[in-house]
Amino acid sequence: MELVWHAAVSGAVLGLVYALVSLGLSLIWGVMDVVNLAHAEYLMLAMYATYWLWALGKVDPLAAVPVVVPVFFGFGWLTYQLLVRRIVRAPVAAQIFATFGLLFVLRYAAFAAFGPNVYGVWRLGEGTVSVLGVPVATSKAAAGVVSLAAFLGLSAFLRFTKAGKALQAAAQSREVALSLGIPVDRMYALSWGIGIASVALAGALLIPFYQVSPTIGDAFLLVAFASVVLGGFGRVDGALVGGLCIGLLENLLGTLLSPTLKLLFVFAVFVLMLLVRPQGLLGEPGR
Amino acid sequence: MRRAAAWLLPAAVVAVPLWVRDSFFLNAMIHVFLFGAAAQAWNLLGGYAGQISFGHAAFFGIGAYATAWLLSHHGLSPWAGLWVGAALAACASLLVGYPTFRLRRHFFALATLALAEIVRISFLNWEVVGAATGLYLPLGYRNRFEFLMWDAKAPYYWTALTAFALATGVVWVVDRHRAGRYLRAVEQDEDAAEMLGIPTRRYKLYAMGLSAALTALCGGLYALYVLYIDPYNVMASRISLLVVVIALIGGRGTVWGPVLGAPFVVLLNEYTRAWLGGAGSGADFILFGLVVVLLSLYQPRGLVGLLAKPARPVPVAVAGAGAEAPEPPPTAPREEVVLEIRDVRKSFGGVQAVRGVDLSVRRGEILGLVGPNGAGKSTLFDCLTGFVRPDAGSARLRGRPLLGLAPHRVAWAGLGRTFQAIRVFPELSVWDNVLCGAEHRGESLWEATAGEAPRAVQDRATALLRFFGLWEARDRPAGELSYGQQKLLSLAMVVLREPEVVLLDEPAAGVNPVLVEEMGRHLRALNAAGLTFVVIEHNMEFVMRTCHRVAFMAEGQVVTAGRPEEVQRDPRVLELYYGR
Amino acid sequence: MTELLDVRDLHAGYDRREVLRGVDVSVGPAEVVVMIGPNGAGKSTLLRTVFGFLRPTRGQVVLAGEPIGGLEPPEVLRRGVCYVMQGYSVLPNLSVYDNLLLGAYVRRDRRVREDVERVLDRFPVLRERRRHPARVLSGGERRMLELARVLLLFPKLVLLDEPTLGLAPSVVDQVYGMVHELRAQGIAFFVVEQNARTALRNADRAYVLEQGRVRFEGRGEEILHHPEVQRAYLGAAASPPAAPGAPPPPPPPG
Repeated sequence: MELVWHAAVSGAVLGLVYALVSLGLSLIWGVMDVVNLAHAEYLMLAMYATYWLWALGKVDPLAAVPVVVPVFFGFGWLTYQLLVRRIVRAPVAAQIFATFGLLFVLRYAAFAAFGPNVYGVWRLGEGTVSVLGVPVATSKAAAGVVSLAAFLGLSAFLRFTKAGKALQAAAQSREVALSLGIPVDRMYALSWGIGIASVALAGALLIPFYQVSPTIGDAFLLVAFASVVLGGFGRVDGALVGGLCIGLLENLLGTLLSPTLKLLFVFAVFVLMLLVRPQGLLGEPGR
Repeated sequence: MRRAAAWLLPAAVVAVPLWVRDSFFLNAMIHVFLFGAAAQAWNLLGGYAGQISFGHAAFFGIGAYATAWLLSHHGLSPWAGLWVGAALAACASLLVGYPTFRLRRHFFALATLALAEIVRISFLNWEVVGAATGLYLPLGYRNRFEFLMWDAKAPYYWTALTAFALATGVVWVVDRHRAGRYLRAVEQDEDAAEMLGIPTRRYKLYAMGLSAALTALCGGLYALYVLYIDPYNVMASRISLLVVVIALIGGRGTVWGPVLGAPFVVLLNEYTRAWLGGAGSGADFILFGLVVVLLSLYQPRGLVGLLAKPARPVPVAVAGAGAEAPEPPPTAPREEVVLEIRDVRKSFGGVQAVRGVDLSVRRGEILGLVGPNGAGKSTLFDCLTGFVRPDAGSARLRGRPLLGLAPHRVAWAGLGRTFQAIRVFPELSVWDNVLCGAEHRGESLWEATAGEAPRAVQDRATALLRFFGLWEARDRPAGELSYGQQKLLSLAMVVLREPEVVLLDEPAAGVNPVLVEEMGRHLRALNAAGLTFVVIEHNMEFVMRTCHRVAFMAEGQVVTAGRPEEVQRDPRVLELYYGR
Repeated sequence: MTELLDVRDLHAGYDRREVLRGVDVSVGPAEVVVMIGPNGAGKSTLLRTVFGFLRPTRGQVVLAGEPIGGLEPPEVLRRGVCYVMQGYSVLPNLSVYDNLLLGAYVRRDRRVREDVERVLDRFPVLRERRRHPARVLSGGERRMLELARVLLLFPKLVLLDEPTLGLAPSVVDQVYGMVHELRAQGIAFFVVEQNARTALRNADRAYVLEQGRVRFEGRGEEILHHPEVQRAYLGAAASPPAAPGAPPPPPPPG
């Protein structure tokens, strides 16, 4: 029983990071109805960036956040301006191919630059903190706390600022937003900036306890999709709920049944969700 | 001359190993054939049916593992193992296809990507199939035909070539027959295809299963060639990418696209890798990724598009079909009610769009359905044809209930429908468009794959195209026709199979007055030949001249129905249409 | 009288469908001009072209002496032209208050919130519901919100696309009540309507659009009683309808 409780707590902490990974995917999906298949590649690149800052510059991963996040915000913005802007209103097939091609450009760029080796940040003698009676490594606990803070921050941005409201307006109706003079194009770019910045934040938080290699994107993309489908896409709270569920599910089932096949469970949930409730747990029915 | 080339080229390709001994080249060619065949399989699904899969590595891997494992653990000949792999891959593919084909847009691509990753991770951890260590194929079986393994490269060359020819042949057969036309129709406009009676989901599943099975065959042959497999070399996402790139560069949705794309991509890949040595690791895939991005932005039709003749921009004149024709016998609509609509209701989020419509359509009549914007006319059509599920009510076509049926079943029951915006398949030829409207009830997949439409159907299609003045344009893509011609074409498509009742949504909207006139004459002529129409239309002049009866709808209900001039004089109509 | 909006020989359409085939209309300052016409005549297309959603293929759009044809919507808004789209153009999942704030999106000054308060004072119903998401408003309240939102930009001209579509008769009167109130403050309205009678009774001047061209223009009352206008709506009422099935071509074989 204690084992289950341990698994649940560490699953929830991991779930918060998953939620952060899926947040950007969900935001971009919800705002402009484009699914970014290259989403997890930005996570991988952010993990490399944080790793190299640590390895070469002796910068602690948490301290690297203020550098990595703005840089990736710019990266996301640029991706929109150079690529996505041209396909926003293209047929779905063109959107799918474009971000799929991007996935490989980014992945193999990392491969060419850093090789196939696995890198990780090693910090000796890292302490633990007690979360609900369960000892959790400090870096993991920190990741959970920062993820939660990022969620609160983004919710506040969307709810209380003019730009955040304009972003919501662009997502709800492109036409109405345009009729109010809202630069929908810039709002789309903003959603890419925020989306990529948040996945980069997740990368910086993950690197202390998760090793990076050029191909880790696949697993995270799957987790992010499952979270988004579970929670309902285009919703900040949906990403949070979805990520938490996937984190819990993965850890609990991994502990109780078989750790090696835990991704299979995630996939089963994903397919089941598509069958039963494609709009997600929090989404409203109807297309 | 061309004919000689058509025989000589394949003969030369077959004969290559007889005079080429360069093993690097033969190895590269084996890759060309195997991945070309996989790309051809992908093409069936991603090119023809328009369902973009990024998970073909999973099917490739399943085929490789099934063949290798059955051989190494049970000594089962690949002749059986290959088929087991194909069957397994087809099952896996349907597992993904079934839930996701109900949803549109990105879901399928997402699900296939997820499937590939899941399969790879599972195999990586599955001890039975060697987990991360992979499987070695037993070398003792070499040089025996029943085990398809050899020391030399030449036999592999021929088996791989056979697989390539098989996959291309399958695609060629599908392309040449009805199934290819239907798959492309599904790709271009799924709702329109469904409304013509094409069971779209069945065709997508069919393309998916066939595609996965063919890909698994390639994977199995690949395992027999490389003699060692692990999740990295037969299930990596690189393979999914390679397959997509070959089809995209060659030209997806064409028979010859992957045939051209495979040598181009694979040879380039193999030789650049050889020249660059280890230095350019990953560079080839960066390049492939870039190519896919650029193709998506500029959407050329791949190498096939470059080689194909540019389309002749010859404008098609609107032929005034049968302008001076003998007068047909005046049609007297009979009293028999063919479509009976009772108390149909539908609301969207609290707004009642249709609030209890009762309407009887009599055999042989043209019934006009008029009314102001937002009266619920199109919603009523959507309810009848299965695109929207009504909240209550019933509709019977010759006594058979319609509501609750999927659109293709509605079509099978004998209801036809056109849409307000034109829904022809722009990249199919005019001829193919019309034949998409053939009767699909009872049409088996096998018939559709292996055969052309029956002679009688083709004759009727020919007659209809002549009747609508579109015969000269039969080989042109429908997207090149003018707006009005596309409207005529969509009418031809829906009447080909002679439905009991045809619902037309604003046939005269947006066309010039001359064509409005022509449209009216066509409708009356088709009616005289026995067809029943229900026509939503705002052009009242057109309605007055074309319809036998008019039903006036406002605020979700039929306010009055009767002879056109009666309805026109009804004070309620004037008030509701024109304002209070 | 110098015209506020002057549209000359306007041609526009979608892809290869020309919807407007040479439209001439004008709106004077603080004038309510109504355009009626059957579905598909091009009424909405005209508004979309004036506002900058569509680029004219030919012709001119002049606002207070300056050409605005082909300008982007934000620029048109800054010049004092607002557009209330057909259907409900509130943002359903944002609060009433946020809907109003976004109405002032193109403003860069710091007095927006004050102005929102002032607008809320004028529309107590909206003040009551300022924290509710706009989707819970009734049809009339949504129209009210849309008109209130427009006020934050102090427009010279408001383009209304079918403002009474789907509204109960009493609410229709309310909507036009608001229009007249705002007109009294110097705002001109260009209203596209299918509900011709109500619109014409409330119009200073009116146009009838048919198949992309202006068929009639005149004072509201004139148009209201013009027999040809009814014909435009209800078809060949002037001439007796031909019997159905009159000289059609031969039936298709098969």
